[in-house]
This record gives sequence, C-alpha cells and structure tokens, in this order.
Amino acid sequence: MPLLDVNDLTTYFHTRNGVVRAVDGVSFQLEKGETLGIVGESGSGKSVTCMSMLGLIPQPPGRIEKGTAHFDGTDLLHCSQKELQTIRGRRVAMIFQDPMTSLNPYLRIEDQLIEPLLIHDLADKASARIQALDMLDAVGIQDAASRIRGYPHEFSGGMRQRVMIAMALITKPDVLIADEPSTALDVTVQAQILELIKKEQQELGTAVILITHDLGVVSGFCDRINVMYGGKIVESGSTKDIFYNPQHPYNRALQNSIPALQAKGKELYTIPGMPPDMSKPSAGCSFAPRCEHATDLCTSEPPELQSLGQSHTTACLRVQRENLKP
Amino acid sequence: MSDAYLQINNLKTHFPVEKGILFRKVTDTVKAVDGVSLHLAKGEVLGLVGESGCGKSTLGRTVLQLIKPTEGTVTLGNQTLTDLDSRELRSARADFQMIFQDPYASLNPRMTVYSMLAEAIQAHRKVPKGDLAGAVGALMEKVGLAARFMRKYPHEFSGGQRQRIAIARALAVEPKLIIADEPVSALDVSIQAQILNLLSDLTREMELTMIFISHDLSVVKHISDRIAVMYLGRIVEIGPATEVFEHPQHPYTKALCSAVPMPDPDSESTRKRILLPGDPPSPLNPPSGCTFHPRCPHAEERCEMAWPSFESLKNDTHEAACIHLADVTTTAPTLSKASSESGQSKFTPELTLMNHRGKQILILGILGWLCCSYFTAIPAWIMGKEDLKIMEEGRMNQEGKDMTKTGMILGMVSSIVSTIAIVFFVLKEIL
Repeated sequence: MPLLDVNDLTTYFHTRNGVVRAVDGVSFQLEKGETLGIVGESGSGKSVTCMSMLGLIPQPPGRIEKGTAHFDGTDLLHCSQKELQTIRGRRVAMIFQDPMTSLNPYLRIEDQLIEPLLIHDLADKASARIQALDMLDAVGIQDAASRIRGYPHEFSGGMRQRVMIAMALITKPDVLIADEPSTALDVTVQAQILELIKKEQQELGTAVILITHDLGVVSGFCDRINVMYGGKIVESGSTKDIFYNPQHPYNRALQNSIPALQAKGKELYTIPGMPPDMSKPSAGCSFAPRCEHATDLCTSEPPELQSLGQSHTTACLRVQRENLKP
Repeated sequence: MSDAYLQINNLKTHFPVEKGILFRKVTDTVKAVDGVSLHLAKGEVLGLVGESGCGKSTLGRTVLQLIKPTEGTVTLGNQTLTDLDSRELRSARADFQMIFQDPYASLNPRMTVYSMLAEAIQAHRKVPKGDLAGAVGALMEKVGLAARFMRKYPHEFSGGQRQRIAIARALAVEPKLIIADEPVSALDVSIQAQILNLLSDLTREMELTMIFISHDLSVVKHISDRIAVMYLGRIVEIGPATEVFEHPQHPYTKALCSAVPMPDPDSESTRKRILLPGDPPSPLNPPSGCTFHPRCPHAEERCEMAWPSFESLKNDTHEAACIHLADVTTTAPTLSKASSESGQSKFTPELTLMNHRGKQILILGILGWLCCSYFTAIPAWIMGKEDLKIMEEGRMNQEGKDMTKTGMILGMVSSIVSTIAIVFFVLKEIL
C-alpha cells in the first residue's frame, strides 16, 4: 500500500469571475522514501494540489469538490481538523517557496524551530532546544549555538531556507512537500539546498514531493515525475521515461523550449499561444489549442491518463489511439 | 579595442551608507560596481551573469546614467555619456533604452498601450499627430502584437504580451543600445522561449547592441555573443559565450556552471557538482584581495593579498581574473578545503538602509503623537479645571467629577510618556 494515495482530487475556486478549475481530477501515489517531482508552468495547479492535501486552501473561495487523499489510512480531505492537526507538520511537513516571507520576523529562530515539537508534544522545552540546535547544525548553519538566538532578518536567503528545512524536518516527517524550495535562491545556493534536502531524505527515509517549474531541478533529484498542465496530470512516469521517452506533446514541447539543450544561434522552439484560462473549461484536451498535433477529436473528447507500459502514463488521445510519434 | 561602439572604462558606483539623524555621517560605502571595463562592438550581444547582489543591475543602470557613476567613463559612439549634463543626456537617451525585469510593474496600469507607446515616440521623434496611430501599430506588429490591441490596458494582457509591450516601448525611439535587465526571469519556460526569439530577431534586424543581464546561464548562453561573469562588483571572467560555458576558467565560473541544473537525468546523476560553501559576502564589507577567496576551493594565502589582474587564455578574447589559472585548469577542484569563514554575510546593505528609514519614520510618528497629545491634553486640563470649579460649587454630580479628573490625569500622563519617549530616542540616536 502506498504511503500517500491521492485519488481524483478536484479543487475549484468559486470567484466573482466564475469557477476556476485549479485542480481537476488529479490522482497519484507516493511510496515510502520516494521522491516525486511535480512539474508545470505557473497556474497549472501544482501548488494547489499539495495545499489541498494539507487543508491549506482558503475556503471560501476554494472548495475541494471531490476526491480522496489517503495518508497511512486517514483520508486527509475528509478527516476532522483535529485529526489533520496531528498529521500536518508532524507526519507531513511542507517547505514554502519564499524563505523571506515564511518565517515570523518577530520571533527568534529558536522559538520557531521548537514550535512543531511543542505543538505535537514530542518533547519538552529543554530537550526541544537541544534537538533544534542539532537540526540547525545538520542543515549546515555554522556557529549554530549563537545563530539560534538570532532573528530571521539576520540570516541570508539561503540560510533562511535552511532554517525552513530544519523546521520542516525536526519532527522527522514521513512526507516532505517542498514547494519550489530553491526558486527564490541563486544557482550556487540552489545547488546547496537541493543537496541538503537529498542528504536529509536519505538519513531520515522521508518521501519527498518536489514542486517546481524547472525541469533541470527535477531531472537530477526525482525518481518519478508528474507533468501538470491546466489542472490535470498530462504525463506521469519515471524520470528517464519523462526525459528520454516523452509522449505527451506538451511534455515534448516543454523540453524543446529549454535553451540549454539547443544549439546556439538556432531559433528556440516555442509553444504558440498562452496557458489556458482555468475559468473557461474546454470540452476536450486543455492543451489542444496550442498543440501542433491537435485534431477535431482533441477538442471534443477529454483525454484520460492511460498506461503506456509499466508506470508510464499519458493523457493524449492521439498518442493512445494512433501511436503518435514525434 | 578602439573600434568599440560602447566603451566602459574603470566604472565605479559606490553608495554611501549614512547613520545618525541630526548629524548624518557617511560610515561606510557599498561598492556595488568596483572598476568594470567593457568594450562592445556594434551589433554585439553581451551577456552579464552573476548572483543577486553582485552589481549586474547597478552596472546596467550606471551605463545608462540612471545612476551617476562615482568614477570612470562610458562612451557610446563618439559621445561620452558621463560628461553630459541632464539636458544633453535627455536628448542622448534616444540612443539607449532599457527593458526591465517585471512586466507587471514596469507598465503604467492606467495607460493604454497606445498612450504608452505614443508617449515614447513623441518624446524623441517628431511624428505628426495623424501618423501616430500608424507608427504605434507598426511598432506593435514588430514585437508580435496585433495592432488592434492598441486601446487595451496592461491588465488585459498576459505576462509574455506585457513584456512584448515593454520591448516595443524601448524600441519606440529607435535606440542603438538596449540594456535588458532580466527580461525573461518573470516568465514561464514556454513564454520565455518566445521572448528570447523575439529579442534575438530584433537585435539582428535593427543591429542593436545589447547588454543582456540575467542570472540564468543557459538563457544567457543562448542569446549572447560574449559572456561576462560578475562577482561582487567586478568582472571575473569574460569571453565568447560557448567558450565561457564549456571551458570556464575562473573557479567561480566553474562552480556557477556546475550548479546549473540540466534537464538530462543521466548526465545529472553522474555530474560532479562544485558546491561553494556559504553565501555571497556582503558588498558592505568585502573580503580582502580576491573577493572570491573565502568561498574558493583553490584559495591560498596570496589570494588574500591583492585583486588579481586579468589574464588572457589561449586567444585574446577569453580572459579571467585569477592568479592561478594554470593550476586551476590542471587540478580537479576539491571540496575538502571548504573554508570555514563563509558564514560572514551579516546584514545586507538594503536592510541597513531600511532599518534607518524605519527609525526616521518612528521618530516622526512619535513627534506627531507628542504634538497631538499636547494640543489635546493642555486644553483638556484647562477645561477640566473650569469644570471642577463649577462642580465644587455643587452644580454637577459626583460621577461627572470623577470622570473629569480621570480624563485630566490620562491626558497629562500620555503627554509625559511621549516626552520621555522622544527624549530617549533622540538621545539614543545622537549618542
């Protein structure tokens, strides 16, 4: 049985301008100790998927329409707030994108670090302090004993993100959700942070969900990848399948438009048009208006995720029926 | 290079850090740009890369004279921009324009595309009013926008389209030099490719000279002819784009190149990353000698002594500033010598300035409170005394008497407290 089993998760936002279908029937599994990448452009629903599981969606305007998310026997979407509070932060922890705004500027680093331990009754104050110090040491903050008494503004961006990681991992969670943990950081610091998450993951055996828009980051980090577009998973498979055997036209186009892979001076491959307006649902495939292989069928019939062998699945009618090859 | 179109010689931009409210004194300088020399041929695209806070944007703005340089000269064609006064500069600005990072912040939300572009055209060119709409339409088509969107407002466009409008606005005066400050960082990958293609087409068509500032090495490599790598206000390596990317020479460039994640799982799993210890140091208090030495895996004692001079490699076009380039190229970098003094960045300069501004606002606030409380407390005291006199004469009940007394006491206490507070803060600032 997988550690986390998300089935048909659907989250809509009921706004004044209509219903925004942010997440529209997303299903995936996460095994113990595994690293899953969720890739997609902004607005594709990757963050909302994870926020929905942890009950962090502002309701209203958001509403989880249907679906289940079983974590170790508990349905996170339908359990009581009390139950959710015993899981959230203790067994499923989250690192947010922007380390500059996700720490409380009024509190010392120490007080913020020990808070998860105290809330979940995992330690008394004295031993929590010792654990916090060890954790800060483990995430590579030098001179931790004196820095722990500092306030967030005394830390640089990379160090604040290290503090965030320490805070998320201090309860030794089973699942760590990292929502663009390195996007706000410089490349050299990004490399440090990713290396750190990987190291801690190996030590604690934590399963990690990494949300990012950077295909480069997931390629070296994840075991499996879900590619999201327009609130749906359009392709899912092992990292090698996604990169070396891409099937969905969106996945292919996305990889072709990355500058690093192409010969210099050549025109970059571009995906025409713009990301879809999520408040205007399309009858067929949401990528069809931008897809160069789209047919009449694509605009009228919604595609379902179908297996292409082993764990590789894709949601493209033409790939499934006609064996479309690039 | 005497035939260079844009010449930047020993450009320095220093920002003073001031302290104190009554007696402001310069306590420190932030050397954002510290001795940069660059030469660009006509039609060349130079990529400028570096981490945040290394001075890339300040360099770009100083070249355009948006910030006055502390030292050094900028020559465009045969005009020395650093010598121009503000009026001459205004007319010279038709030759050089800037594209900003965030298309959501750089467009005025209350102006239509037409009024934005028409304003830019009229500022420098004399186009008759009747032809203006045609000129705007032509400009929009040049950047891949339909002319019928002319009367729309920025919020009706997506991020990529907005960046196209920003590019059109920069091109409206037919400039010869463009400085693009992270023009694609705020955009999604698929949109980023569209804008990059547009920029490289335009530079070719209009023979634009461009400085392309970005922190993303792969984007810079794609669009640039040459790449300059900056670290803490100085250029540490410069050379042809593919050369710098594929054969980096300076240890910092090497680390930077190795840190860029590649969308290729096989090479990614075998690739050896050079992990730099610590964070980039604060430009307020840069390390001595080569500013990179606290994080450098090859650092030795002589690195701390003096800033290394540029050394040419193989051909004249590729240069790097490191004293032991020969050793660096032969030995594989080791992580074991990770320096222990890396945690030295303390406060960023912006933060110090912000704190200072915060204090000023706080003091102003207290002054305001003080004035208000005196203006209300003193009349209240006088009126209260009057009232009490009347009450003593027995014309009002006991309850009213208590309330008047409490009001008077509260007023006086608040004014006394604010007096103490203001004296305390002023004393603290002065001492």
